[in-house]
Parts: sequence; structure tokens; C-alpha cells
Amino acid sequence: MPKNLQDIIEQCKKKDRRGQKALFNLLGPTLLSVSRRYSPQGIDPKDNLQDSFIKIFNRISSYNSEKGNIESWAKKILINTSIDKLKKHRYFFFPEKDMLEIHAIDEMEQKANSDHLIQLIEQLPDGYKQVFNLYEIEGYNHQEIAGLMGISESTSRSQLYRCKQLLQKMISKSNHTMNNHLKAL
Amino acid sequence: MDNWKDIIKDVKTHQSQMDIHSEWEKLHLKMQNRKRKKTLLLMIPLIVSTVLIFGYFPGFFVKDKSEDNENLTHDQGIPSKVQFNRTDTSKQGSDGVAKPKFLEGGNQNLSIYVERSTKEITGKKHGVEKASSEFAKEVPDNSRSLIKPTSLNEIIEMTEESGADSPPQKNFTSAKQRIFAEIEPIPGKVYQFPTIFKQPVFAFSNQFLEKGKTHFGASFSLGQTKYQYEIHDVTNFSIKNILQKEVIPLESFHIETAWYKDFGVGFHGKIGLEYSQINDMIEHITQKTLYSTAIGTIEQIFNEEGEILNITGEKNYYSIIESKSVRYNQYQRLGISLGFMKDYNFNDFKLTIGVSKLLPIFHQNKGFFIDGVGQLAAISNQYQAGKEDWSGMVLLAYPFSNGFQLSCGYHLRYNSISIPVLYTRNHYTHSFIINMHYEIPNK
Repeated sequence: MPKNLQDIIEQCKKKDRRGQKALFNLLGPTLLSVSRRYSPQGIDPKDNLQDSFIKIFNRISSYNSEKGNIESWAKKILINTSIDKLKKHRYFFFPEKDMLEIHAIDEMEQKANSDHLIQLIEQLPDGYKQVFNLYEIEGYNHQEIAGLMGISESTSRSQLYRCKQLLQKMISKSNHTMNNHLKAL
Repeated sequence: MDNWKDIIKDVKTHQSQMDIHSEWEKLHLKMQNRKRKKTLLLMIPLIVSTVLIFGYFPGFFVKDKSEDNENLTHDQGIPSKVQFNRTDTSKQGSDGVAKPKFLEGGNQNLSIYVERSTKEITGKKHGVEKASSEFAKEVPDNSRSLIKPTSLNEIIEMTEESGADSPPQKNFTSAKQRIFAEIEPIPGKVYQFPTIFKQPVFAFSNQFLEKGKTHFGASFSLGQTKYQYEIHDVTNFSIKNILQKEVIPLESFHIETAWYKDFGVGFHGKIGLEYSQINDMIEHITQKTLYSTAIGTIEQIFNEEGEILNITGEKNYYSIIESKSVRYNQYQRLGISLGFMKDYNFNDFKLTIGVSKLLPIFHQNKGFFIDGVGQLAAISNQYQAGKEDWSGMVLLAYPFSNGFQLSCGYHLRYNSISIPVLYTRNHYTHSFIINMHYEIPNK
């Protein structure tokens, strides 16, 4: 860990505004991406990011650098905040196959694959989004996802399957080169 | 598949573009707001406990009355009620009627007079009683002439005539009543004389504190109607139009601790310390029209042979751009609240209607307003204490209960804020409020 980051964390522990701003500058863009993936429909990812940062600043005194880096720790707080919001507002909505509405994205050609995928994930229904993020990106297993979201393991599996089908359709509609990779899933 | 893993890896470390500076400003503002709310929530139990402690404070002023009377009468050698009623059989007169010690011998007329003063002591409470007890010493000679002296023996004889079989004690009580009946009312000023000069403010204070009651109250607005500022002192119509924007009231609450004084027939007056906080939001929508001109083909004509005739020219376009700015303002006041209320009782329910006024002693304003020339200016720089008027009218309904009362009702608030040189802004707010009220029992 660079000494500079350690200093920033120490400043944050002392509730120093400069340290907090430095940490926000450092982690903000990464966490905004995570927030975009996890924020439910109708909630601004930036609002979610702000709420998460308030929690990060309040709990930073409990952060232990030996257990992991600050980014993973902050990311975990953001994920938990997003899931809490979903639970609080009862946003868990797993649509039936027939109800799915697929939005085509034509202007994605020039964009990078990862950016494209994030934009597609943002459009996914909330329940699908969480399961996909936790399983495919964060590497959680279905048992852990079920525990975290308060759903059954079989629901988690079926939602992931349907989510992948939906993503394939979305990709094919957007004629993106990533389609081929997704077909291989 | 490897590509997919790479994409997922990229997604994991992906960084979204953001305006870090403005996002930090928003976060900073949000953090401050949360901190303020947290502080306020912590302050509520502190205020409640402070009020409860001070609610018992009047108890220290109001001393034990019986103790006072005893001390006073002993100090001045005037018998108390207990002494007066006590019959000493060993010193009964020849007529068999018990006489109190102080009636034996000496000037009987004076004795009658002293007896009267003693009754004043035991019959009344509060400060006046002490004053009248001292009357025996302090009353001027010319005042004594107002009392028609009656011989005690004469009265006792009259008593015996009316009920010869009654026991001595009873006869004596009856005689006492007759004595009092013979005394003409003494002009008020004679009694007031010692009240003012012998038992000053403290005696009055005791009386006031005992009759008044300490209340702790808090009210929260549940819903308020939108309102528009009434702008005065601005002659420019367009600027006046800019200033008269619709305000959306957000949460507001009032916490107070006050002395309630009952005037009888359901009327109450109050004076207390009040903290008020009002938050509001102003949406300011401005429309801007942009004009642009495009030069090109504006008409095409196809003839029978399919030849095209293009007519070029200028085409004017305009677009209306609507921009919205939202301003959040907060007004905090700590001041002396004055109020006057009337209670109406309906079966188990009570209806209170009242008017109140806040005289701010501390004020804090946050936010921005549009000044007389249409520019944004910080409220805190312009608003001045003493240049404002906070008044209100309240209508509350609640069931009867002891001590704690929870009520809901309607609150009309009138605010007038004068910004020196620029303008005076008035507005009325109608809100539905929930009110909490606790009467702190006096000790």
C-alpha cells in the first residue's frame, strides 16, 4: 500500500475533510461503476454512491489494512448498501420471461466492451442485476447470494440463467461484437 | 471465453467518468445535512431533560405554607388558628365560655382586632396572608377607626341567648363569627399597603408561580400548502415577478417550554422559550428562447418530366430552453414566544384555538434568495434580526388526558421578513401539524 494512501486513511480516521476528499477522488470513479451496476431502477447511482461514502467515512476507523485493500472494503460497503436499499424499498423484482422488454443500444459500437456491458447491466431488472453482479463479477456462489439477498438458492440459479438469456438478446439487438463471447456462456 | 473473462475483469476495475469536484460538493452538503439532523435528534432528549429539570424549579420558590404561618405568628406573638381554637379549661371565665389567652384582660377591642388579623393568616394562602398578619402592627391609627369595636362580653351574651345548650367551644366559634360580622370591610388600600411594602415582589412571585404551570411542547408539520411571497417595496414589475416564486414548504418544527397562566373560563396565556426551524424549497424555472437561421433548400418542385426545381432561402428556427434551479433554505429561530389561547370542551375532547407571536433573540438563516436586481444572494448576509415578524394561529383537537397530550390540528403561520433597502417579503403558510404537549407538575 502506498504511503500516500495510508496517510489518506489516517486523515479520514481523524475526520479530516481533506483526507475524505482525497479518498473520494481516489475511489469515486471505481465505486461509481459498481454503483451503476448495483443501483436499482429509479435510484440514481450517484445518490447510492454518496450514501455509501458517508458510511465509508463513518466506519473507516474499523478498517484494517491487513485484511484487504481499501478498495475491496469500500466496494463491499457499497454492495451491502445497495442490497439494503433494495430490501428496504422492496425493489427485488424478478420478471417473468414474457414481461421482459429489451432495449436496443445502437450507439455502443464505438465504446469499449466493459463499458458496454455496464450499460447493459444497468438496464437489467433489479433482481437479475444483483444476481449477475454477485455471481459473475464478484465471484459469490449461489448459497452466498441466497443468504445475502434473502432468496432461495434455486431462485438465484434460475435468475442467473434468465439474466444471461436476456443479456444475449440485448447484445444481439445492439449488434455488438461481444455477442459472440456471450453466446459461449 | 477468455475474452469474456477479460471483459468481466475490465468491468470489475472499470472507472466511470464523473465530475469529481461537483460530486464531492454534493457529498459534502449531504454529510453536513445528516450531521445537523443527527445533532438535532440528540438535542431533543437534552431539551426535554432540561425542561423537566427546570419544570421543578418553581417548587424551590414555593415554600411550605404551614411552616411559614407558624414561624410568622410565633415571631409576632400573634396566635395561630391552632392556638385560637384551643380551649384552656383551667382558664375558663365565670360564664363557662373558654377564652383564648390573648383575650384575657387588656383592651378587648384591640383583641378583637388581632383576632381578625389571625383569621386572615389561616384562612388564605400565599403572600397576602403574611401581609395581613402584620396588619396588627402596621395598621395606622386612622384605619382602626374604620373598625366598629364590639364588646366581646356583649357578643358572647348574645350567643348564649341564641343557644344556651350549645357547648362552650361551639358558642365561642359562633361568637367569633358574630365578631367578624360586626367588623366593617376595611378599605382595600389598607390591606395593600403592607402587601407592597412589606412583602414585595417575592410574595407576588410565589403566587404567580403556583398558579402558573410549566408546559413543554413540540409540534411537527405533516403537510403544508405551497405559497407565494408577497413582495412589497419593489416597483419594477419584472423583478417583482421574478421574486414572487412558489415556495414548497418542507419539514418544520417548533419546540418550546413555556409558563401557562390560567385566566379562567378556558382562557390561557403563555410566555416561554421557543426554537423553530423551517425548511423550504424554491423551484425557479426560467425559459430562454434561442433563435437560429438555416440557409438551404426550403422548397422543391418536381415538374412532369421529373425535373427538380429547388428554391433556396432562409429558415428561422427557435428553441425554448427551460432551465430549473432549486434552492433549499433553512430558517432557525430561538426566541421568546407569547401566546393567548382559549379552550373549548366537547365531551371527552378539548379544542384549543390560540394566537402566538415569536420574538426572536437568536436567528440563523441558510440558503440563497434573489435580491432586488434578480441576483442570487446569501440570506445570512441580508436578513437582520428585529426586521421580521413571526406570528401564528393554531387550532388543535385532543382528548383529555393528564400531563401528556398528543394533538393534531391546523397551523396558520405568518412570516414577514424585511430586507433593508431591497424589499419586504410576506407570506402565509397553512399546515397540518401534530403537536405534543406535556404539563410539568409544580412541586
